[in-house]
Amino acid sequence: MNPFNLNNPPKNPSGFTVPEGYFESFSTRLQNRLEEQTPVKSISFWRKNAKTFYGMAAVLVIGLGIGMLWRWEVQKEEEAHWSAIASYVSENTDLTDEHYLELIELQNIEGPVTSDTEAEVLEETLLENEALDYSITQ
Amino acid sequence: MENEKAFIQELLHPKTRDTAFGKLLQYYQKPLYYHIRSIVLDHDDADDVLQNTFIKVHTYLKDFKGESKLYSWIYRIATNESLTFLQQKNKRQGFTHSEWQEKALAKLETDVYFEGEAFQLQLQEAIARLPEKQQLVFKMKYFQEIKYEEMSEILGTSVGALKASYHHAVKKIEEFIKTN
Repeated sequence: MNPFNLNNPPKNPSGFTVPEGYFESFSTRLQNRLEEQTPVKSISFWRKNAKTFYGMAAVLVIGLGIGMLWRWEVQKEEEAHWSAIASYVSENTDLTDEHYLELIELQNIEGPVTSDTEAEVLEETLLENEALDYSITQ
Repeated sequence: MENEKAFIQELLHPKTRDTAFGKLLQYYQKPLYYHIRSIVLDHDDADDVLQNTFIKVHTYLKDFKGESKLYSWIYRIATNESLTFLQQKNKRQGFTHSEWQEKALAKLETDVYFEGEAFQLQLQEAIARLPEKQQLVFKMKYFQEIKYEEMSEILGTSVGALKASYHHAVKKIEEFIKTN
């Protein structure tokens, strides 16, 4: 037994030792734990396919834009067509707005035209029902 | 560590961070292990605490403002981690600090990672009888040969108080050896 002397300690005064290769492997083990601790950034389905979705949206917007432009052009053409007809009619006939109004009023006054068969049926019904004839004349 | 400011910059810069952290690990792992081991006594516990210490250093390095030396900052983390580890372990197992110490010393005699010669065992027994703060000061001074100025930064205690604490610890240990 060595005499105890604080001022003359042995080579390893604490007496602690480590398993063989402990310090050599420590950094690898620590690295593994650091990787475990680092949260893996999860990329959502939307974020992952963002480029595709943006592309599709752009195509849709452009498509809708072209469609609306085409429709507007057709509408413009139709308007031009009817306006050309109206100008042609007004330039090549003697009819005025008053003539058109008169025609519309006449149609309203004359009422709907009934067929001959309907008139015949009406006459027969009146002849057969005197009471009805009376109530009409009254 | 030479040129500490430049080294801290390397640790903080994303491009050089990993290499610098590797250097820091190589430089500090051994002294920190023995510092931690002298507090927790068991090798497996020391391994856990050492890993936790480096994980904390890695995590909080970005918050290190350089107000204290890197060395003191790392040692402070290691010391706090060791003491917290022991408190939690004792709380879980329902032991007081002295009960744990008694068991840990008994375990040390058969520990394969302890050179169980008479000097070391007797010294550990003597240290175990000191108040907790004196134990820490004695271990840091005697085993780690940490300077009082550095110890003062780590423990937040004045140099004078540390010297007095170490002096008392040495007296008590010598007394214990004489009477046992």
